[in-house]
Amino acid sequence: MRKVYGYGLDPVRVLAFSKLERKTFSAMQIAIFGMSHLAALATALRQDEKSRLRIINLRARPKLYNMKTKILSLTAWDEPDPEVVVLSLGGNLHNLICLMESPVPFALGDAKAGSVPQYRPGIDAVRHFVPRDMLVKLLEQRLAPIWQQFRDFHFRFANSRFVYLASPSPTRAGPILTKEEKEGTSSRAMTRFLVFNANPPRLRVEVYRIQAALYAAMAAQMGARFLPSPAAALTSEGLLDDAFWDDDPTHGNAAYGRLVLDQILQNEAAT
Amino acid sequence: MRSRHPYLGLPDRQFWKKEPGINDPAQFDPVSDAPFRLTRGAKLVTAGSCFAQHVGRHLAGQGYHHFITEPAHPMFPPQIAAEFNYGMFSARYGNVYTARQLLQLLQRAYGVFVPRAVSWPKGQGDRVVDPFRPQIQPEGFVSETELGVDRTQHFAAIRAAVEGMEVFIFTLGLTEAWEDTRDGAVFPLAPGVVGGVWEPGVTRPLNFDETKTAADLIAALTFIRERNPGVKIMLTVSPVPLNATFEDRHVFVSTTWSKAVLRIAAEKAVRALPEVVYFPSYEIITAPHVRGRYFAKDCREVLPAGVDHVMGVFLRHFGEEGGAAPALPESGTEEVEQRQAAAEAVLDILCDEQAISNE
Repeated sequence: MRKVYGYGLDPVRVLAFSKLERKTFSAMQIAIFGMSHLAALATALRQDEKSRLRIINLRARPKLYNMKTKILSLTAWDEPDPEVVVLSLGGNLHNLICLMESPVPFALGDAKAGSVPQYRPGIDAVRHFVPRDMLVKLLEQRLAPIWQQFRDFHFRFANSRFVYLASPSPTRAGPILTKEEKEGTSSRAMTRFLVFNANPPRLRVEVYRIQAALYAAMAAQMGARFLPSPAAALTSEGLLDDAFWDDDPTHGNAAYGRLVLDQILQNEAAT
Repeated sequence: MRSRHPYLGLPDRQFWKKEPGINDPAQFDPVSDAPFRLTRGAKLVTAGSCFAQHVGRHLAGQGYHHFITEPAHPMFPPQIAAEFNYGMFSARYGNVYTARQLLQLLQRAYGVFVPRAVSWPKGQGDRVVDPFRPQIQPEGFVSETELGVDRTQHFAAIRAAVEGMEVFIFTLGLTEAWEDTRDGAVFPLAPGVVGGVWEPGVTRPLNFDETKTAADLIAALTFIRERNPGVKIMLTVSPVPLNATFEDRHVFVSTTWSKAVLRIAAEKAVRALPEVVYFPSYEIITAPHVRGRYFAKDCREVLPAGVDHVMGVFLRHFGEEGGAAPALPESGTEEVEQRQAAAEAVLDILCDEQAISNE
């Protein structure tokens, strides 16, 4: 049985991911730098793609990235500069904020509905209303260190083209874990916690969309291309389809990684 | 032998030359009586003009219970909460400058008055501001629908404050306002200043005199008492001069007129209603005794030293354990300069009026 550790730090997956990365090559075209979200891509990377794509897990590169201080040292990069730098940095802030229901449940301001979730008198418990701009401000503040990392990459790889990856959309979490609990494939404690404590999906999607919009804006500001979560991986509600994540509700699986790799390659082909 | 006359034996406070503040500004204390004292556990609700923000903040800093019924969600750090004006007053109503504004705020919160003006456009797109608190969010609301949800929460918070408070402190700030000619709704700022569109036929300037101001104030306090009979009420007048006047005269002349009106209205309310007291914060800041040193370089903002003096006197008379008024810094000292610099730093206190300019 695989266990879920915190926000997807599956040690088995991370180890495999690190080993894969060590198979370096010289004619690198696309370098994908990131952290936990790259595990899905590393698992999906095909042999024939390794001459073009390289996945660099910063967590496994202490010379490049200090996990404690969260400071990049990109001057330690002593290999040829890639033509394209793909960045998958941060990305789980939306989950940190609202995967789990807050002790003070909240509803988020929404232009059309007024709030998400909408309050239904007599049915819903009253939630603490949070104006949308205020949550945007919170995300901007919390993302500031990530933006600095983006700038560090641009400074180091001044001649490269840049692509920013969106993190996966939120998962359905609760219902899926209920099913998996029955199948014995997930942590029982985590499952129960999520079943009873996950925030309403619509709210999680909205917070995710705000985060994605901020990443897109940062990409535009830095002259980078932003790639959203692949549409084929999403449900009509904007959630990550069950086929694209396994036992970790905060990360995509290999199938998701495959879609993202295809997205990166298609983007390059179109460039 | 001294002849008998009506002033014989009256308290020193009634005689100008007996005021110790003449020689030592820090001793200036114009409070005559304190019919009640605050306890640290008592729920205090504050409302009013810019100066009222100091009152709530200072009392909270002294361990008193500034009764916040509309707090920011706990996930937000204080800096963001402050930016969106949570915790500035008990609920997120922003500055309430006129007695009419206070009365209508209460009526709106209880559904007694439903103004026609729901929102004002803010820039391009669907963004809007709340006409009744146009600067409560830095960029307004994302839509009128969002504003509606926020307003529902806001009104519930006002009702909770009205019904749960033990002491209400209201600082009267202005007499000038803008009225919707369609239904009499009063706005703190003219449309067009920070949102909305200025349409002369729809909105008109008003300058409430002492009769109207007193009537509105007494009506508002009565409205509160009907829902919270035991609440104690304290009235003050803001010492902050007008930022702008719509009257065709010098802004300082308008200031003296407005402050006189507000002072009279407060006095009328004190005399008309039980357990309503006037606290002379206006007098402390503007008295000749303090020689103008409590105003910042702009001659308008009140320096922290002035707020400290006001609140020192306040706590001495109304505080749970009393307290001495702070000593004044010597004039011209570096400390004053530092205080002025500090004051500039606190000028970010929300003051809708400052949005008004003739440029």
